[in-house]
Order: sequence, then structure tokens, then C-alpha cells
Amino acid sequence: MDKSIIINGEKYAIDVDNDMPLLWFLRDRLEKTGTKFGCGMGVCGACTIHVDGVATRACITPVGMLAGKSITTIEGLSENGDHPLQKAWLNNNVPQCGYCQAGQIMNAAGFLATNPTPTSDEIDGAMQGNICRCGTYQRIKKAIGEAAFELAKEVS
Amino acid sequence: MSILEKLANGGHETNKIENVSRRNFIKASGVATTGLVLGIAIPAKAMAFGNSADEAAFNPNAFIHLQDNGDLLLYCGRCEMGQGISTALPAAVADEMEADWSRVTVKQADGDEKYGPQGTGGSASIRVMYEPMREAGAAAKIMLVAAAAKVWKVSVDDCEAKNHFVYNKSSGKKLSYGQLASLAATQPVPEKPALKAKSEYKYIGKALPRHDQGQVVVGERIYGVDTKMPGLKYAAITHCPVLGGKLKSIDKTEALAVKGVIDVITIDRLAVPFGSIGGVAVVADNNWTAQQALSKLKIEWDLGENASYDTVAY
Ligand code: FES
Ligand code: FES
Repeated sequence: MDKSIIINGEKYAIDVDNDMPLLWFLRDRLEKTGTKFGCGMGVCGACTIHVDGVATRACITPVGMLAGKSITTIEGLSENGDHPLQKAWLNNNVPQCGYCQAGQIMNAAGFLATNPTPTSDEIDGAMQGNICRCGTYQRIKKAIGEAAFELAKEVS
Repeated sequence: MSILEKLANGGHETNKIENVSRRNFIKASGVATTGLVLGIAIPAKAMAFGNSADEAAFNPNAFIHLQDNGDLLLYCGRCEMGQGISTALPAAVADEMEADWSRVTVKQADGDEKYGPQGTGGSASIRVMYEPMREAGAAAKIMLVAAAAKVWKVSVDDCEAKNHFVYNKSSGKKLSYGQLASLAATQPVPEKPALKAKSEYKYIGKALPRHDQGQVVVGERIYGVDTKMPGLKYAAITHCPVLGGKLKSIDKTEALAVKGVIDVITIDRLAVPFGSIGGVAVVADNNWTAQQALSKLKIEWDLGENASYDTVAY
């Protein structure tokens, strides 16, 4: 059976061990390094991507399970880096070292897609699995609030 | 002298600036050979980590390159790690140079020894490089003004540098930094260029948007772990669980049998300079394979003299 996966709109053959986590398929096989490796155990959020629109930890998701699915990584979140979250991230100067931020943004994007008008507590709840060693949490939260506001305007 | 003392003393030594527009640095780096290139030799002591630079010879370890199109490149041997130097150093250069800050790009130095030791730490990047960068900017400005004065056949006092242009005060004419770059490269380098007073700063000390944030939010910023090169291999490492312990025995058979594994390497503890703890590394085609094979190693450690150390008991 021809096994392939769609990543940011492009089709790729799954030509590695089925058990290889998507993270390493992206980073080592396809050399798409925007998705980061933090813990490799599903506990830090650095590797967050979307599988059919749902925020997922790439480090614990075997690529073999994803045949036929559509993956979005930070490189494919928007055409010109102008997703409301990306804009809000820049407005608020969110990243410090930036290492965790691809995961933060992808997690937030998945979250806002399901809850476009989150409360402050709901943002905290949705983001608690994404760790930032630089401690940029305040700015992340502010930027998510701002992006939600912008998204609401786009919809109405 | 301790590293900290060396750092503290660094500021008192003179930085040397030289025109290297025609030296082989540029050719070796594969960048354009036109424009103005200034090399800055930051004294070995200020670099702090035992740079072997010959103090008598001119050994620049930082460079600014004004290209003919007006873009300004700053080659920096220090790493951006979120502390903001890829924004702060351009600000220092651009301020003294009266350059347009948005035209400055920092190029991460590539590990070549001409940059001196490239370790980044001790909150030293700005302390060590701030003044040299300002001096280089000031020198470049003086050379650009001299070039413009030559074109217009006027005195340098009739010229004024402002925001990437030199203006002719009496005629109102202007020449861009890009237009002047190559001619500026033929002008003498000022010995000790005067620096601005604090009240004249345009960029220094002001809140500036970080240069590299745009790359971060689209996943394009390259971290050490993202580096790719032809034939790159990946390693997964395990260490003795007790500090000071060492390898007693190892059975590599199963690990080596994993498809994609290239080798299993033992690394001895290196007591100096930083007390690395040593360990065993599996080298493979990709990270996943290396990690999988690592778990198949059968290792017995000699836990050494700290084997019975217990935090609670202590
Ligand atoms: S790397 Fe996937 S959650 Fe940490
Ligand atoms: S910005 Fe450094 S880890 Fe989050």
C-alpha cells in the first residue's frame, strides 16, 4: 500500500520505520526544523503540530499512524507569516530565545480554532502543557487574547 | 587573572580598527568583494577565553561590511540566544555610523578561527563588543563623509552624515552610503574616532523591535540543533548516573544490530576544562534510531567513590 502523508499541503511518502515519531520524520528525514524537540515524552509541548487541525505532540505520534492525514507545522500555519497569532506574537515581542514558540503558537492556534472567544482561565488551561524555559508566559497569554480578538473581527 | 577580572579589564584596552576591504577575509567568506569592510580587533584579554591572537599583528575578530547596495552586514562571533545581541550590536554600530538601523543584518560567524573564541556567556557580549562596535561605526561614518567630501570637492565640515546618507550642507545634495561605500574604502581609517554623547543616541538605550522575531514565529530561526550539513549523523548519549563514575563493561551487540546505527563510541571523562562526565554515544542516521539503539546497550557502570552519596543522608 502506498503510504503517504500531507505536510503543509504537500504530499510525502512515509519511507521510514512506522514507529518513528513524526517529530523525527519532520526534522531528520524532511529537514523541516521549525518543529522543535524538547523532551521527546509529550510533556513540554515544543513539538506541537496539527493533525487534521488538532494540536498534537509530534514527538509521541508514530508517523506510520498518520498515513493519509494532513499535518500543519509552524512553517505552514500561514502563507506569509500573518496568522493573527503570528502578528500578535510580534506585536507583543513574545519570544525570548524562541525555542518553545513554534509549539506555543501551534498549540494556541489549535485551541482558538475550537474556542474563538476564550476566557482568561480557558487560555491558562489550554496552554498549561506548553513549557517556556525563558518564562514568556505573560506575553504569550496577552498575545493569544489579542489574536482571539482579531480572529473574532475576521469572522464577523 | 580570573575570567571576570579579564572581562572587567577588557574595556581599558584599545580596540584596533583596520580597513580590510582588500584583504582575503572577504574572498574567503564568499561575500561580495566590493564596498567597505572594517575589521575590529578586540583585545585577546577582553575576549577572555585565552585567544591566542598575536597582539602585535592585526587580527580582527569582528567585521562590518557596508555593501554597494547600502546593506550593512555585521559579522558577530557571539551567539544570539535570546539575550538580544543581534539587535543591540547593530544598534551600537548604526547609531555611531548614522546608519539606518533597519539596513543592518547580523551574520552569525561560522566558527572560523579568525573570529577568535566564539563561546558566548558570562553576560560578556555587550560588555566586550559594545565599544568596539561603536568605534567601528564611528570610523565608517568618518570615512564615508571623507569620501563624499572628495566627490563634491568640499571640506568634510561642509558634509553631514544622516540616516544612511551624506548631505552636502551648502548645496543640499546627498549621496547614499551604498554609493559611497567603495570610495570610502580608499579613505584613511581614523585612529580614535570620537563617539557620540549619550544625549545624541538614536538607537542605543531605546526600545527596539528585536531583529530576529519574525524568523521565530514562522519557524525559520536556526538553532544549533537545527544545523544540517551533507552526510550529517546523529548521536544519542548516556552518562554514568553518578558523578565521577566510569564505564565498567559494555555490550554493544544489540545496539549495533539496529538498522541505521553506524557506531557506538565510548567517551572518557575529561576532567578539564569543564569536568565533562563522559559516557557512551550511539551514532546513527537519525535521532530516532540513535535513541532506540541507545536503550539496547547493556552497560555496567563503576559508580566510583560517590556511589553511596545520598542527598538526604548528607
Ligand atoms: S518534545 Fe514533544 S512534548 Fe516535548
Ligand atoms: S522563549 Fe525560550 S523557551 Fe520559550
